Amino acid sequence: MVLLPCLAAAPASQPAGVTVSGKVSLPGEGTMPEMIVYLESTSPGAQFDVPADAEISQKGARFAPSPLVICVGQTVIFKNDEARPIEHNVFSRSPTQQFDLGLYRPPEGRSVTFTSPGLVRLYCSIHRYMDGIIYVCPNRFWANVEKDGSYAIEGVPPGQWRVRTWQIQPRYEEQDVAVRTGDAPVTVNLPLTRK
Amino acid sequence: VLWVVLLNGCAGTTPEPPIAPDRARLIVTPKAEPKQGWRDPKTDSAYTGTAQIGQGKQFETVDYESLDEIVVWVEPAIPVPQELTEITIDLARPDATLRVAPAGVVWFVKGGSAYLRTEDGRVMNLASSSRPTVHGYVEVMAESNPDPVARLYVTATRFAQVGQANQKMVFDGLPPGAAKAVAWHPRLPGGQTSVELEAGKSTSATVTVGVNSLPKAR
Repeated sequence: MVLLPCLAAAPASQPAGVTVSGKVSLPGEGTMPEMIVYLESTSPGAQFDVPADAEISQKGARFAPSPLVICVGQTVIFKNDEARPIEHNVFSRSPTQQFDLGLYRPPEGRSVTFTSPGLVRLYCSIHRYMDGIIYVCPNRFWANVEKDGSYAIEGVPPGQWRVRTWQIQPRYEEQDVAVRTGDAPVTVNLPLTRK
Repeated sequence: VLWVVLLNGCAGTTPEPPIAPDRARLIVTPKAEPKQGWRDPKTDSAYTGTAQIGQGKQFETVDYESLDEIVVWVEPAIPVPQELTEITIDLARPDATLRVAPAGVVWFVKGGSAYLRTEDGRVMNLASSSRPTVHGYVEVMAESNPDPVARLYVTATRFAQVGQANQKMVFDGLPPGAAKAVAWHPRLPGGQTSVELEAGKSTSATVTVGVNSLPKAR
């Protein structure tokens, strides 16, 4: 499953908190889209820890892992780890965050700290097939959706949230549900629809 | 060689069609600009001995000389009504060729149910006949096909074309006055240029797509 590598970007340990879990369901037959569920805080002034830096390899003119899920404030190191002295030029023209890392060869790595949530499409200006995806969540509270539609976000502190979805290849409308967390686990089921 | 010279000569002297006296013509040449200072893999010794460069290979390079799928549109300062046109999407004949679709035209979908998705992730069903309120790059999808059955770029103006770098695009019937030529590409940042169009005359402009306009980060 494509999403599995991006779990490497998730924090190694979660602080105490409750679990927000549930099931994503489809309107009919079909396979579950590759997607995540994430939380957006609506509690005024809420601040959260930012996970350690993530890294994206460029070996063989491929961004890996891709997609990579990170959170606002997190830094990604784009490492040129080609076996040959092949240069790359990583850039993004996505409205979420635009940048141009310039030309560089192995073993150099250059980094970007992501400051806004949303989708970032990566490209190399030299190599035609070199593209990748980063999805920047508002915070570190996100989880992959399993093939059966289940998800579980652990260690969620008390507060007000919006439970939202993101599909790598959008097939349904993204969902957005308000919840409040306290001392007990919260279940939020998310039926996908398309109008 | 003689025929080539003659043909080129003929092509160079072909008279342009007349311009309506109260309208203007704009000829736009899109340019694709590689990263300043890049080394072409075809001559870069780093690639010596690898078979992975060239068409369809792992290290195939972006062809800036003939970069395709550049969308160019012209936005006159004076709005021009859209033409009542339509586009047809036949699910039985998937076609990934990028097309332009002026906003507001009717989309006909033949052969089943389809939905569209925008570059920013919006998704909506398409009726057999509809006027979707979307702008920018759109993929039309069918449930049975993981790949797009059609790819469209929806523009706010009917003066829009898809072409490749260094090939002239001719826009006729423009109102005289200020206008803006804008370029978009699926992967490279777009560009734009302002022009002043004169009635009964032809004006030339270039628009550039490329990474050099992006903010630098380290």
